[in-house]
Amino acid sequence: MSEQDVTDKAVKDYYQKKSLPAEKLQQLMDVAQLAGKKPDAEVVNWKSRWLMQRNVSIAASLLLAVLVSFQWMNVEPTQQQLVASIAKEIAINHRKQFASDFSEASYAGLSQVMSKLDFKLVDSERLKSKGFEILGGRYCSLSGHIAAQVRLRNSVGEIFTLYQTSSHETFEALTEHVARAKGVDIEMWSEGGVFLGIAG
Amino acid sequence: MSEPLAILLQHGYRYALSLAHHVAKAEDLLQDAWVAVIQAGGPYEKGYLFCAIRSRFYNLHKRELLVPMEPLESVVEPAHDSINVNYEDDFEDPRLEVALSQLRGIEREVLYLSAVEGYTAQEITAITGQARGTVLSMLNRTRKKIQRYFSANEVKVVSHE
Repeated sequence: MSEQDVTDKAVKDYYQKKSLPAEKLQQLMDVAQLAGKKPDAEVVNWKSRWLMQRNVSIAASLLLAVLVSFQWMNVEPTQQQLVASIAKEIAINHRKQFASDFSEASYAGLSQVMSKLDFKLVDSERLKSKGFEILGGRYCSLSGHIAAQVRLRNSVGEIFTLYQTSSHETFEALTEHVARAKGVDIEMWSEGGVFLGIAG
Repeated sequence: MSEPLAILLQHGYRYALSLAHHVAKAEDLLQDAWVAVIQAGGPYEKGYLFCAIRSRFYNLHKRELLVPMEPLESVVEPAHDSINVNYEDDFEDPRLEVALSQLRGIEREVLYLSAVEGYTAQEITAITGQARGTVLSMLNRTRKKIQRYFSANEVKVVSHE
């Protein structure tokens, strides 16, 4: 033990042996009581502090829940409306069954001839396994944006129409959706920066 | 009786005692400070109580503040390499009491805050308003003063030779 430690220990022992006389201590506690402070003011402080923290936590949670609800109310219906609107547009286009303006049998070929498109048609991974035959394509629009309608036929001869448009910010908020509009089943998704929808 | 408040009051009393080194004065200091804390509605915390005690002590002893500080460089520490405190034994209260009585209030205060309350030099700086270097040199000098007192009185001093 160093000289400094010995001195400090002696000083500490000296002061720790000193204490306020019991009657004086009680007197000061009584003063606190008379002034309206409970003797266990320290404990009460902790309790009230804990209660305050708890109340603040509850209030913060409620506020967060309200904010999330508002956000859901604001965003979810908008997205639902957007999905319904696009699905309806696809369904109308599908039911018209317009003849193709371009009779290319591949996406690459259609991209070449449909030069007004501001994106390149994608050969969707999702559709490759389904063995669709490309019958041709034509221009159309989705939510005011130029799009391609590609006519497809499956192995049993059923006709499907595929819609592709560049993923404008209108479509960026959309994830995968399955919808039914005007009796037509529609599947929508994004792939390679292109928004796709297939109806059949 | 609430133990936290009782402990707080005992800490306050000891701190007041370190400043005044007088039982009755320490009790008066604590009582005045305690009433002030109650009137202010708290907080019932050691730092706040110490601050109240300290301001009352120095208001009562402003003259002491007017005494110019003695720079450390001007103090010639006597050589005491040849003697050492016998670390196996503790100081006894009456002798230490005399040694402490020879210290200035600020010296006892700084020593108390460091040795008893365990405050760092930086924390003591915040409480006392002294520069950190001053606190450190004061602590060093105060300890040596106590050690010298025991050496000069040939109490519990052993030679290594």
